[in-house]
Amino acid sequence: MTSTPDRPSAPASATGRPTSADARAALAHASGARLGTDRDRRVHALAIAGFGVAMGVFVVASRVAETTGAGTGVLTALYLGALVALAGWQKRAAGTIPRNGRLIGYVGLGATLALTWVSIIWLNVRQGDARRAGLPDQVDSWWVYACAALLTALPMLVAGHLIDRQRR
Amino acid sequence: MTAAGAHARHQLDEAIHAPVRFSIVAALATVDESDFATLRDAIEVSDSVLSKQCAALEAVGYVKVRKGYVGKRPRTWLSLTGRGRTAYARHLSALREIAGG
Repeated sequence: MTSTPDRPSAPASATGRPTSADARAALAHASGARLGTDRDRRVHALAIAGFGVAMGVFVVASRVAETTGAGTGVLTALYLGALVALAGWQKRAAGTIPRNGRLIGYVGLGATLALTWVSIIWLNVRQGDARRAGLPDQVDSWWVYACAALLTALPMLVAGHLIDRQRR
Repeated sequence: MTAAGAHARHQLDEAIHAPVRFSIVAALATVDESDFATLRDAIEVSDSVLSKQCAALEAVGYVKVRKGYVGKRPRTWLSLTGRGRTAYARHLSALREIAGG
Protein backbone atom coordinates (compact mmCIF):
# COMPACT_ATOMS: atom_id res chain seq x y z
CA MET A 1 0.00 0.00 0.00
CA THR A 2 1.25 3.40 -0.86
CA SER A 3 1.94 5.67 2.03
CA THR A 4 2.19 9.43 1.87
CA PRO A 5 5.56 10.14 3.47
CA ASP A 6 6.32 13.41 1.69
CA ARG A 7 2.93 14.96 2.09
CA PRO A 8 2.86 18.24 3.99
CA SER A 9 0.64 17.25 6.83
CA ALA A 10 -2.28 18.88 8.49
CA PRO A 11 -1.72 19.92 12.09
CA ALA A 12 -1.09 17.12 14.55
CA SER A 13 -4.52 15.86 15.36
CA ALA A 14 -3.31 13.33 17.88
CA THR A 15 -2.21 15.96 20.34
CA GLY A 16 -5.13 18.24 19.58
CA ARG A 17 -2.65 21.11 19.83
CA PRO A 18 -1.52 22.03 16.35
CA THR A 19 1.34 24.45 16.45
CA SER A 20 1.50 27.57 14.33
CA ALA A 21 4.24 25.85 12.29
CA ASP A 22 1.87 22.92 11.62
CA ALA A 23 -0.83 25.35 10.57
CA ARG A 24 1.54 27.26 8.28
CA ALA A 25 2.69 24.00 6.64
CA ALA A 26 -0.91 22.95 6.06
CA LEU A 27 -1.79 26.35 4.62
CA ALA A 28 1.23 26.23 2.32
CA HIS A 29 0.14 22.79 1.16
CA ALA A 30 -3.41 24.01 0.58
CA SER A 31 -2.32 27.06 -1.41
CA GLY A 32 -0.05 24.89 -3.57
CA ALA A 33 -2.75 22.31 -4.28
CA ARG A 34 -3.68 22.21 -7.94
CA LEU A 35 -5.54 19.43 -9.68
CA GLY A 36 -6.71 20.76 -13.02
CA THR A 37 -4.24 21.12 -15.88
CA ASP A 38 -4.01 23.60 -18.73
CA ARG A 39 -4.86 20.74 -21.06
CA ASP A 40 -8.10 20.01 -19.18
CA ARG A 41 -9.09 23.66 -19.36
CA ARG A 42 -8.28 23.76 -23.07
CA VAL A 43 -10.35 20.62 -23.70
CA HIS A 44 -13.38 22.09 -21.93
CA ALA A 45 -12.94 25.48 -23.60
CA LEU A 46 -12.72 23.91 -27.07
CA ALA A 47 -15.63 21.57 -26.41
CA ILE A 48 -17.90 24.38 -25.22
CA ALA A 49 -16.93 26.61 -28.13
CA GLY A 50 -17.44 23.63 -30.43
CA PHE A 51 -20.97 23.05 -29.10
CA GLY A 52 -21.75 26.70 -29.82
CA VAL A 53 -20.36 26.56 -33.34
CA ALA A 54 -22.27 23.33 -34.04
CA MET A 55 -25.52 24.92 -32.84
CA GLY A 56 -24.92 28.06 -34.88
CA VAL A 57 -24.11 26.10 -38.02
CA PHE A 58 -27.13 23.85 -37.50
CA VAL A 59 -29.54 26.79 -37.18
CA VAL A 60 -28.31 28.18 -40.49
CA ALA A 61 -27.86 24.87 -42.31
CA SER A 62 -31.34 23.68 -41.36
CA ARG A 63 -32.80 26.94 -42.69
CA VAL A 64 -30.94 26.52 -45.98
CA ALA A 65 -32.01 22.87 -46.14
CA GLU A 66 -35.68 23.83 -45.59
CA THR A 67 -35.48 26.49 -48.28
CA THR A 68 -33.77 24.30 -50.86
CA GLY A 69 -35.60 21.11 -49.94
CA ALA A 70 -32.35 19.29 -49.12
CA GLY A 71 -32.37 16.42 -46.60
CA THR A 72 -33.03 17.88 -43.16
CA GLY A 73 -33.05 14.37 -41.67
CA VAL A 74 -29.45 13.75 -42.70
CA LEU A 75 -28.49 17.19 -41.45
CA THR A 76 -30.09 16.55 -38.04
CA ALA A 77 -28.35 13.18 -37.81
CA LEU A 78 -25.00 14.80 -38.61
CA TYR A 79 -25.66 17.52 -36.03
CA LEU A 80 -26.58 15.04 -33.28
CA GLY A 81 -23.61 12.87 -34.23
CA ALA A 82 -21.30 15.88 -33.93
CA LEU A 83 -22.69 16.76 -30.49
CA VAL A 84 -22.31 13.20 -29.21
CA ALA A 85 -18.76 12.94 -30.60
CA LEU A 86 -17.80 16.26 -29.04
CA ALA A 87 -19.27 15.30 -25.66
CA GLY A 88 -17.47 11.95 -25.81
CA TRP A 89 -14.14 13.59 -26.61
CA GLN A 90 -14.62 16.11 -23.81
CA LYS A 91 -15.33 13.34 -21.31
CA ARG A 92 -12.43 11.14 -22.44
CA ALA A 93 -9.77 13.81 -22.89
CA ALA A 94 -10.10 15.68 -19.57
CA GLY A 95 -9.47 14.26 -16.12
CA THR A 96 -10.97 17.23 -14.34
CA ILE A 97 -13.66 19.82 -14.85
CA PRO A 98 -12.15 23.27 -14.19
CA ARG A 99 -13.43 25.32 -11.26
CA ASN A 100 -16.69 27.06 -12.29
CA GLY A 101 -16.36 25.43 -15.72
CA ARG A 102 -19.71 23.72 -15.38
CA LEU A 103 -21.51 26.92 -14.35
CA ILE A 104 -19.90 28.94 -17.15
CA GLY A 105 -20.83 26.23 -19.65
CA TYR A 106 -24.48 26.06 -18.53
CA VAL A 107 -24.84 29.86 -18.59
CA GLY A 108 -23.33 29.88 -22.09
CA LEU A 109 -25.66 27.09 -23.20
CA GLY A 110 -28.72 28.88 -21.80
CA ALA A 111 -27.78 32.10 -23.57
CA THR A 112 -27.07 30.24 -26.82
CA LEU A 113 -30.47 28.51 -26.64
CA ALA A 114 -32.13 31.91 -26.09
CA LEU A 115 -30.23 33.44 -28.99
CA THR A 116 -31.11 30.46 -31.18
CA TRP A 117 -34.72 31.59 -30.92
CA VAL A 118 -33.72 35.17 -31.69
CA SER A 119 -31.85 33.98 -34.81
CA ILE A 120 -34.78 31.84 -35.96
CA ILE A 121 -37.27 34.66 -35.40
CA TRP A 122 -35.01 37.09 -37.28
CA LEU A 123 -34.71 34.68 -40.25
CA ASN A 124 -38.49 34.12 -40.19
CA VAL A 125 -39.17 37.87 -40.18
CA ARG A 126 -36.88 38.33 -43.18
CA GLN A 127 -38.62 35.48 -45.00
CA GLY A 128 -42.04 36.97 -44.13
CA ASP A 129 -40.98 40.36 -45.47
CA ALA A 130 -39.79 38.74 -48.74
CA ARG A 131 -43.09 36.87 -49.12
CA ARG A 132 -45.11 40.03 -48.53
CA ALA A 133 -43.00 41.68 -51.25
CA GLY A 134 -44.11 38.88 -53.56
CA LEU A 135 -40.72 37.17 -53.75
CA PRO A 136 -40.45 33.36 -53.79
CA ASP A 137 -38.67 31.57 -50.90
CA GLN A 138 -34.98 31.58 -51.66
CA VAL A 139 -31.64 31.24 -49.92
CA ASP A 140 -30.84 34.46 -48.06
CA SER A 141 -27.58 36.39 -48.31
CA TRP A 142 -24.48 34.73 -46.87
CA TRP A 143 -23.95 37.57 -44.41
CA VAL A 144 -27.43 37.01 -42.94
CA TYR A 145 -26.58 33.37 -42.29
CA ALA A 146 -23.15 34.30 -40.97
CA CYS A 147 -24.71 36.79 -38.53
CA ALA A 148 -27.36 34.26 -37.42
CA ALA A 149 -24.72 31.56 -36.85
CA LEU A 150 -22.42 33.95 -35.00
CA LEU A 151 -25.26 35.30 -32.86
CA THR A 152 -26.23 31.75 -31.88
CA ALA A 153 -22.69 30.60 -31.17
CA LEU A 154 -21.47 33.77 -29.45
CA PRO A 155 -22.39 32.98 -25.81
CA MET A 156 -20.69 29.60 -25.95
CA LEU A 157 -17.66 31.06 -27.69
CA VAL A 158 -17.44 33.59 -24.85
CA ALA A 159 -17.95 30.79 -22.29
CA GLY A 160 -15.13 28.80 -23.89
CA HIS A 161 -12.90 31.85 -23.82
CA LEU A 162 -13.64 32.44 -20.12
CA ILE A 163 -12.70 28.86 -19.26
CA ASP A 164 -9.57 29.03 -21.40
CA ARG A 165 -8.56 32.30 -19.72
CA GLN A 166 -8.21 30.47 -16.40
CA ARG A 167 -5.11 28.77 -17.80
CA ARG A 168 -1.87 29.55 -16.03
CA MET B 1 -7.02 32.96 29.42
CA THR B 2 -9.18 31.81 26.51
CA ALA B 3 -12.58 30.37 27.32
CA ALA B 4 -13.02 26.62 26.76
CA GLY B 5 -13.87 25.89 23.08
CA ALA B 6 -12.94 29.37 21.91
CA HIS B 7 -9.44 28.51 20.67
CA ALA B 8 -9.09 28.28 16.90
CA ARG B 9 -8.03 24.63 17.15
CA HIS B 10 -11.59 23.77 18.19
CA GLN B 11 -12.76 25.11 14.83
CA LEU B 12 -10.61 22.60 12.94
CA ASP B 13 -12.72 20.01 11.15
CA GLU B 14 -11.84 16.49 12.28
CA ALA B 15 -13.02 14.99 9.00
CA ILE B 16 -10.59 17.16 7.00
CA HIS B 17 -7.82 17.18 9.60
CA ALA B 18 -6.04 13.94 8.60
CA PRO B 19 -3.22 14.51 6.06
CA VAL B 20 -4.59 12.41 3.20
CA ARG B 21 -8.12 13.74 3.61
CA PHE B 22 -6.73 17.26 3.80
CA SER B 23 -4.87 16.67 0.52
CA ILE B 24 -8.01 15.27 -1.11
CA VAL B 25 -10.15 18.22 -0.06
CA ALA B 26 -7.46 20.80 -0.94
CA ALA B 27 -7.08 19.28 -4.42
CA LEU B 28 -10.81 18.93 -5.07
CA ALA B 29 -11.37 22.53 -3.96
CA THR B 30 -9.47 23.71 -7.06
CA VAL B 31 -11.80 22.01 -9.56
CA ASP B 32 -15.50 21.33 -10.09
CA GLU B 33 -14.93 17.60 -10.50
CA SER B 34 -12.05 15.17 -10.91
CA ASP B 35 -11.85 11.60 -12.01
CA PHE B 36 -10.54 9.09 -9.51
CA ALA B 37 -7.27 8.34 -11.31
CA THR B 38 -6.34 12.00 -11.75
CA LEU B 39 -6.86 12.71 -8.06
CA ARG B 40 -5.03 9.52 -7.04
CA ASP B 41 -2.00 10.46 -9.15
CA ALA B 42 -2.05 14.07 -7.95
CA ILE B 43 -1.98 13.24 -4.26
CA GLU B 44 0.16 10.12 -4.68
CA VAL B 45 -1.83 7.49 -2.86
CA SER B 46 -3.01 4.03 -3.78
CA ASP B 47 -6.49 3.24 -5.09
CA SER B 48 -7.47 1.63 -1.79
CA VAL B 49 -6.27 4.55 0.34
CA LEU B 50 -8.08 7.08 -1.82
CA SER B 51 -11.19 4.95 -1.91
CA LYS B 52 -11.24 4.57 1.87
CA GLN B 53 -10.61 8.23 2.60
CA CYS B 54 -13.17 9.36 0.03
CA ALA B 55 -15.73 7.05 1.59
CA ALA B 56 -15.06 8.74 4.94
CA LEU B 57 -15.50 12.19 3.38
CA GLU B 58 -18.61 11.03 1.54
CA ALA B 59 -20.07 9.73 4.81
CA VAL B 60 -19.92 13.22 6.34
CA GLY B 61 -21.32 14.77 3.17
CA TYR B 62 -18.18 16.60 2.06
CA VAL B 63 -17.47 14.64 -1.12
CA LYS B 64 -19.84 13.46 -3.82
CA VAL B 65 -18.96 10.28 -5.68
CA ARG B 66 -20.43 9.80 -9.15
CA LYS B 67 -19.96 6.63 -11.14
CA GLY B 68 -20.28 6.53 -14.90
CA TYR B 69 -18.82 5.20 -18.10
CA VAL B 70 -16.50 6.64 -20.70
CA GLY B 71 -17.14 4.38 -23.67
CA LYS B 72 -17.26 0.93 -22.10
CA ARG B 73 -14.88 1.77 -19.29
CA PRO B 74 -16.26 2.54 -15.85
CA ARG B 75 -15.05 5.79 -14.37
CA THR B 76 -15.55 7.36 -10.94
CA TRP B 77 -15.85 11.11 -10.55
CA LEU B 78 -15.31 12.97 -7.30
CA SER B 79 -16.32 16.47 -6.31
CA LEU B 80 -16.58 18.59 -3.19
CA THR B 81 -20.12 19.30 -2.08
CA GLY B 82 -21.21 22.79 -1.03
CA ARG B 83 -21.04 21.59 2.54
CA GLY B 84 -17.51 20.30 1.94
CA ARG B 85 -16.39 23.64 0.50
CA THR B 86 -17.85 25.49 3.48
CA ALA B 87 -16.16 23.12 5.92
CA TYR B 88 -12.85 23.47 4.08
CA ALA B 89 -13.08 27.28 4.11
CA ARG B 90 -13.80 27.19 7.85
CA HIS B 91 -10.91 24.78 8.40
CA LEU B 92 -8.51 27.04 6.50
CA SER B 93 -9.75 30.01 8.46
CA ALA B 94 -8.97 28.20 11.73
CA LEU B 95 -5.51 27.25 10.41
CA ARG B 96 -4.83 30.90 9.51
CA GLU B 97 -5.81 31.92 13.00
CA ILE B 98 -3.50 29.32 14.55
CA ALA B 99 -0.66 30.24 12.17
CA GLY B 100 -1.04 33.88 13.09
CA GLY B 101 -1.19 33.24 16.82
